[in-house]
Amino acid sequence: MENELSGRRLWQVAGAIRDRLHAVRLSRFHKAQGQIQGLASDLAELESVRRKLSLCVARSWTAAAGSLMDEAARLFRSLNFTSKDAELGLNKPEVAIPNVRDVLEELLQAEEEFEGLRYYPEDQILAIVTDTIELEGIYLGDFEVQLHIAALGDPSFRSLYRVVALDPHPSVRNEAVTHPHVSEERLCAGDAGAAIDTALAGGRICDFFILVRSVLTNYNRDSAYVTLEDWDGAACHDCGSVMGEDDTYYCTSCDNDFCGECSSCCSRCDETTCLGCLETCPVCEDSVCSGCMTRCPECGERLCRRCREEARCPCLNEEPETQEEEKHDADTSGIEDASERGEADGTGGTRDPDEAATPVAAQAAEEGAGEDRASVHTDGLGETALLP
Amino acid sequence: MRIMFINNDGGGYADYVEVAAGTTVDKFFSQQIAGGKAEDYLIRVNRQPVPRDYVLQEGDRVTVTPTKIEGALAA
Repeated sequence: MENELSGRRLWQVAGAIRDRLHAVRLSRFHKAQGQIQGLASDLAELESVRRKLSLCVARSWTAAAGSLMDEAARLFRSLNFTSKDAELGLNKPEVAIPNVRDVLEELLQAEEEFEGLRYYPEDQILAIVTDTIELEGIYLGDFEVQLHIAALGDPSFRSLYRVVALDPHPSVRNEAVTHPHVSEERLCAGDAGAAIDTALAGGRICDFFILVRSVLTNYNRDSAYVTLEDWDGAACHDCGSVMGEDDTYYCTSCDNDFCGECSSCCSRCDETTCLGCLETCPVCEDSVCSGCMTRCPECGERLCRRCREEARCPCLNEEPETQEEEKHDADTSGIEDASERGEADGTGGTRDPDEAATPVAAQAAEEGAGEDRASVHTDGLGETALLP
Repeated sequence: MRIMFINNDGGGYADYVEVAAGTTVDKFFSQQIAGGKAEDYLIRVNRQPVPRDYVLQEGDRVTVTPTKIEGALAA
C-alpha cells in the first residue's frame, strides 16, 4: 500500500517522534527557567526594599517606611504564588525520552501487533488500522487511529489523535458518532486517558495504539455518546418503526418517543403529543392534549380550556336563546299593541322604526308623558330602568 | 534481579522492579496486578508474546496493557 511504513522511512519517523519528544522536554525546561527567573527578580526587589527600609528606620522616616511595608507585602504575595507554581512544575515526574532505536522498536512492535503501519508525510500522521469492530451485535467497521506527530506535547490534547471510521456505520441518531465513544473522530478515552498520556509522553507509541484499541473494542453503556440500544434508532412507541434523532418526537403526556406519523401537537399549548394522547374538543373540534382539556363547570362536559374560558359550552348558550325568545315575544306583542292603538287614534299604526324596536320604552314614554321627574331608558333587552 | 515493568493499567507508569529469580510471567502478573485476570490483559516480554510459564530474566522488559477499558462521554 502507498502509505505503508517500512524500511528507511521507519527510521525517519522514529527520528521525528524522538525530536518532537525532545522539543517537548526542552520546552518544559524553558518554562522552569522562566519561573526561576521570576522568583529571582522578586527576591532582588525584596532586597532593595530591605535596604530602603533600614535607612527609613535609622532616620525615623515613618511615612516612607509605611509605603515600603506595603511594597514588601505585595512582593511576598507575588513570591508565594510564583514559588508554588514553580514547585508544581519542577515536581512533575521526569519522563525519560527514548532514543531513536527505542522509538523504532515501538514502531516495529506496532507494525507487528496491527499488521502494518501507515504514514501520511504531508500531515506527519502515523496510523494503524483496527480489525473490524462489532459490539453487542452492532457492526461498527474498522477504524484508523491517526497520531499527529507534530502535535505531540501540544497542550490542545484534542487534536493529538483522531479515530477515523474507514467503513462508517454511524448511529442513526447522530452521524458524527461512529462508535459509542467516538464523536467527530475524537475518542473519549475514559479510564484509558491517563495511561494514554503517559505512554505518549514516554514515546511508547505501540502502547498508545493498543490502549486506544482497548477502548474501541469495549462498550461502556453508562457513558456512551449514543447507546447501542439506540444505535439504529429508537422504535416508535406506537407503530414500532425505527426513527432517527431528527425524526423522533417525545410525547410530553405519556413520556414516550413517537415517529412523525404518530405524533402531532396540541392546538392550545403547542406541546408535542402523540395521537393517542390527543383529544378532540367537542365544541371547537380542535386536537388538544389532556393537560389542555377541562370540564364545563355547569354541565361537566369535557371541552378545551379556551372553549371554557370563552364560555362556549353548548349548555351556556341555552340561556341567551331563551332570553332572545322572550325578547322576540315582547317585540311582537308591543308591535301588536301599538298597531291596535294606532288604529284607534287614527295614525293607522305607522311608527318610527326605532320606536318599534323599543316598544316597551315607547309605551312607558306614552304613559309618563308630561312628567319631568323621570325618563325611561331601554338597554335593548326589553328591560327598563329609571334614570335620575 | 531487576526488570523493567511498564504498567498501562490505571494511570500508567514505567519503572524498574525487583523480582525473585525463577519468577514466571504468570506469578509476576499476580503480584503486580492484584485481582486482575490475565486473559483481560495483553502481556508482552521484550515486546513479544510469551507463555504463562516463561521465567523472567534479568533486564527483561515486561508490558501489561488492559484489553478491556471503558471509554466515556466527553465532559
